[in-house]
Amino acid sequence: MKILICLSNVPDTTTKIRFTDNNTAFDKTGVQWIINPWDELALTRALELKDVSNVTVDKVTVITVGTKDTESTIRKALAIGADDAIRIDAEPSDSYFVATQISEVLKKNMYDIILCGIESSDFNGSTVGGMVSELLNIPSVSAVSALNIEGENITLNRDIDGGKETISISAPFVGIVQKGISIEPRIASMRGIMMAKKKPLNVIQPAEAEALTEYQEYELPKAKAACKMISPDNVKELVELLKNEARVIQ
Amino acid sequence: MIKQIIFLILLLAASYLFYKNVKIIRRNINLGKDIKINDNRWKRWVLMFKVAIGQSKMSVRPVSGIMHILVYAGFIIVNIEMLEILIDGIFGTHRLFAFFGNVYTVLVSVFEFFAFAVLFACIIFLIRRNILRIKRFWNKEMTLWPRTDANIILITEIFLMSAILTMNASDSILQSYADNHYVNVGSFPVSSLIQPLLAGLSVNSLIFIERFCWWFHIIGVLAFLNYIPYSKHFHVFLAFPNVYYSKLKPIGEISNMPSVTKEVRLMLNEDTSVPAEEEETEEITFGAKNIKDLTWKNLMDSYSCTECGRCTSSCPANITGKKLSPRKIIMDTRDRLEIAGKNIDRKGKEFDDGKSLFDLITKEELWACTTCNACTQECPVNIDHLSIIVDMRRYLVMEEAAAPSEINTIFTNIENNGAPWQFSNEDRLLWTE
Amino acid sequence: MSVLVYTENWDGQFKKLSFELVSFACKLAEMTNTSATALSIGNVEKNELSKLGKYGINKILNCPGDQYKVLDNQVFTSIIEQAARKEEAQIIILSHNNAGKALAPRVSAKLKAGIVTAVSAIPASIEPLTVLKKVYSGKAFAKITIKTNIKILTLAQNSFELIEKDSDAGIEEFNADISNDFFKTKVKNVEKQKGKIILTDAEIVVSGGRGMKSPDNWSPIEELAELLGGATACSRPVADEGWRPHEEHTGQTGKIIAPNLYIAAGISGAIQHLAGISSSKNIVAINTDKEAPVFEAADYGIIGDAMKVLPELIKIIKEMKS
Repeated sequence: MKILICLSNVPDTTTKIRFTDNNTAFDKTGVQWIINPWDELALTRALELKDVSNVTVDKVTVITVGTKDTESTIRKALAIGADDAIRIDAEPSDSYFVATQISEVLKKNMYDIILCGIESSDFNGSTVGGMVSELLNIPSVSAVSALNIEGENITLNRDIDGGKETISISAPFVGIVQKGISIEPRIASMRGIMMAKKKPLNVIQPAEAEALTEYQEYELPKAKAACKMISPDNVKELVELLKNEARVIQ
Repeated sequence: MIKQIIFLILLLAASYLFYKNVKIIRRNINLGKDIKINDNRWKRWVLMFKVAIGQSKMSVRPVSGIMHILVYAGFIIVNIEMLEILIDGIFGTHRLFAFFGNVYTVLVSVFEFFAFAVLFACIIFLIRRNILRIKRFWNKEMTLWPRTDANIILITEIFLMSAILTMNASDSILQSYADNHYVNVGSFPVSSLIQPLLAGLSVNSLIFIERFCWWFHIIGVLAFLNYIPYSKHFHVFLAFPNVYYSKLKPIGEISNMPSVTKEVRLMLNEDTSVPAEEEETEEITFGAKNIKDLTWKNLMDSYSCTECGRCTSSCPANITGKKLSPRKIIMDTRDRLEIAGKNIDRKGKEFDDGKSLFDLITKEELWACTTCNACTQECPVNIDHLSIIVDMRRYLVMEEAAAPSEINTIFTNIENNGAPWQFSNEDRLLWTE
Repeated sequence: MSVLVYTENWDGQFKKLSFELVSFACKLAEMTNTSATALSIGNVEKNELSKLGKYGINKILNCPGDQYKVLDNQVFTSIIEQAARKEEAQIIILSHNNAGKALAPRVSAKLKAGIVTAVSAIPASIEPLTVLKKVYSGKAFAKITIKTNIKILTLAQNSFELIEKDSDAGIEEFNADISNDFFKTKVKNVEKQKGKIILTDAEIVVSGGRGMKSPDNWSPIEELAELLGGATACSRPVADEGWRPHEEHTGQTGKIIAPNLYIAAGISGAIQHLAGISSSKNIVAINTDKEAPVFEAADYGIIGDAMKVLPELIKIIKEMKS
């Protein structure tokens, strides 16, 4: 089976978020870019399955929509163990645009399993995976917290409110994965980093596609009111505040 | 005449067998990476004199240090006697050098003192190992074979020294029987104390005892010689070159890896999409997984190990209950080397049994090491345990990225934030405020 | 023209979030001068359906069927699309929960309708439809305009007040055109936590971190949660160590919740944890370390030992309730 992982290039968790151009664009200066953590979990799971049997999973490809500066992140994915990468050379303007690009590539070269993280840590959209599956008219399963393949049989765990379901499904499909799919993301070994330079990174031109939404501007959250400190000897005061001021308990 | 022929055959056979076994050890050592250690010749000779010949590191533990000097010096001095024994055996003479007269008597007396010293020290050692049960002889890696090996050596020494003394004792008594075979060289101080035990025995019995002891001793020596390549006792030969080829750099200095330096330079300077000049970096393994990834010096280290356990007993990880035992690392390396050697002998050079050092040494042991170098400091034959531990760790991290998850987290954080923790790079200077 | 809202049911029952969605949809209908229609898929009793009418819904499309017990994304997407076409819906509302995340993007692609997810308030403007959304894991807001005719919004849980408005909602049977072989999702097994309040639904959450020192110290947290009718939660290290089940992990890679009250005991407040709870209406932090980052996110704080403060809290609340 061939697995495709949709990667998003996002700023590292500790980045200080700032905007430029009158708050219409994200300020990229000094930003350290990483693979979106959920996409990384998806990639890790795919590689784990490939380690178990490279007959069952014979190829793991990563795909991303982005400009040249995303290549170092793509190389990280290759260094961790992906076999090859595809970069669609375009700015990811919105999720529909991204999904269209990815599905156009898949229409020419279909994969058995397409995995996406449930959201990306930059725009928190949770939309690309679902859109790709609809554009390709294939099934999707969301909130996937486990994925197992035995021969041709694919079993997933899907999280539902207050529990989980065990689901079997056939390829091709899109799996939208979240926490639990894999525990420990991999780091690149020296060997992996060296081999990453030789693995294919195909850059392709974007297809005709439009964005359905437009990001007008950004704003930073207002400074939060300072925390009201209560003495540990006066817990009663807290209860009163919660009751009368915040009104969250009766 | 027959006795001489038998003697010669035994001598030649034993020598040949010993030579073959040493050749195998040499071949095994050369399975390691070929590195050049030819610097600082004078410094190395001085070091060898101090540590190997002078036993400088043994003085840390004075009791065993003195005992060991007695055995070591005694062993060398008593074996000067071997020259006469060999000539006597080949040419059918008896105490050929007796013509030196009083000098001879004095010399043999000195030999006797040392023989007794060796015997005495070996008894003390047996008591320390088996009755007092000194802790460092009873760690987990000191299984039946290593303990038996040690006891065999000590008991053999005791028997061989006893044989010499008994031989001298009966020889002295026989001298008074005016047989021109038993040249009058007089009595010797230690063996004369045994003489009363032999008094009252007939001439024939005494001759039998004297001859028996003589043959017992020489056959014992030849047999022991051939036992040595299978035993930790090989250190008596290997300690000297092992110290000569020691790491001369400061103890805490870990070697650089030129292949990695090159790779880092490439990453910093070059565009990731431009393929770098490829070299045979494919074949070079980072770090050590198997014998062939270690250097010949590492392998010589493993054959030089005396299994004394000073390394393990000073290891802070071991003392606080971790699985790491530096001695075990060296013994396991030697065990793996022996297996690798046997595989070549039985199945040819290309045979790969699919196993590696990691089948004997666990990751838990390797990661417990604090790289403090207490082990290398204590080792009386200058074994560098750290070289093997660090190289095996390098393999785990650089080839397999199999470091413990806490360390992987540190790597990721350093890569993303420039610090081992999850703080923004921009906050680096907050601590100054 | 109308606003279509998909009201998910759980074993034939609606939850508070269903009514939040209806309130939101009806407010939008009001702002756009149109009507609001609810779509229910699966077997829901008439009197449960009519509850939606209490929050102002004008029409309820009922699509019953045993085959809809299990969520199949393709099937449900098709039903929503058919309903949207039938009602000429210009705005489609779903919840930003598991089902919403699964379906809303598919509907968006199917109808080529622009979508903004996890909104927490009424749009800033209707023409063009512009909404505010949290981005960069809560570190910033983005003002997004939807350019298409049909627009889709998913609403974050517990972010919109219920607006009671009695309306005469008619229930219309809606039999969507779905062929049997369209169902591709086969469920082999379902595992459900019995009895406990679902964390994402809970209005009050009591949570513990590594500062609780040991899994044996959790009873004050459980007791306080039960006393307040809330759920228990924990930080990531606690879940990773196995002290608490993974389902309780709140944080960037765990559950993102927005309860009315979040009590964090022994939690230092790492960025990833705060990202999971920052939408909470009120945050109380209890920690012995006065420099702990959690105090920057909290509304109320006590610098003290949770093992002493929590029992005290329990005692006072018990007194208050009696």
